[in-house]
Amino acid sequence: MLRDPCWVKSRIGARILLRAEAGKLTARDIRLARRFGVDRGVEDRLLDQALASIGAEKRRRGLLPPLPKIYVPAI
Amino acid sequence: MRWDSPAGKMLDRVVAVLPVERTWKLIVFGSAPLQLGLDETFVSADVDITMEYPDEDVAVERCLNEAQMLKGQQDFYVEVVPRYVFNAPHDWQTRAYREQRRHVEFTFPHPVDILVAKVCRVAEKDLNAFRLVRRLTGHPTPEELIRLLRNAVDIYRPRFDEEFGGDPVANTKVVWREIFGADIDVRAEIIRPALEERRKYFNQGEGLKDKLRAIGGG
Repeated sequence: MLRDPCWVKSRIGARILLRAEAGKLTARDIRLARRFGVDRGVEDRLLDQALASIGAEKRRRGLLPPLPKIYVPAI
Repeated sequence: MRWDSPAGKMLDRVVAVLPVERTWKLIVFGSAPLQLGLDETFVSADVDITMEYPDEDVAVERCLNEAQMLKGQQDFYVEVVPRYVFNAPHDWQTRAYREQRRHVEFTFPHPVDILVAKVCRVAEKDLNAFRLVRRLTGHPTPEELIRLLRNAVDIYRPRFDEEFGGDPVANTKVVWREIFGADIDVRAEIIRPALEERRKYFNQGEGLKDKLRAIGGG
């Protein structure tokens, strides 16, 4: 399956944000963050979606607690 | 629906003059839906219609012209207007009433949506429409009208220099004074909350890229 490059870069960017939060940044992360920070294809909205997507994957694999079932509208 | 009201009879004449070989989808707005739905004596000079599909207006207007039903051809007439003239809340279709008359499907916006569209003008006749709907239905309440106007917030955008039109902010204040006997801060009650709601959606993830750039030392 061909994935949109903007989405691929944003997913990598989101993983870098998560690693930064966990204090586990590598030299490669910093290099890529510099590159993606000025890349037009990487945008706030895609990073937000990528964080949500990665979070959902982790929940599916039991690495994160499930979200409460009470529906809270996002907007 | 009171199809025996003047506007109802006029719309049936529209049905009679439109070719039967195909179906037509017309949207009726202005005062006519109030006449058909609420009070048959709420008569105005015309019946405003627009098309569900914008490219149909020329064909419809041609038929009505041949039948001598347009402005200047009859004292009570049909006016075919562009779709953008009807400035209603973005979700008005969900409240609309639809009725099939032979090969024509009519869409009648809900009375409260008709009223919101009148906020762009607010002549005395428009205020009478507010009074009529409020008297007969008890709606919209101030809270309901605020919610509806938030969903039509674009009417409050500044006009282009080349554009004509009223002042919807001032008009809204007039409506509140005349209909609810109160003042309203249009920016605080309608514009800001509506834009805030939009911002929540359109600015999702705001600042994440800046964080990424900061990680990269940028």
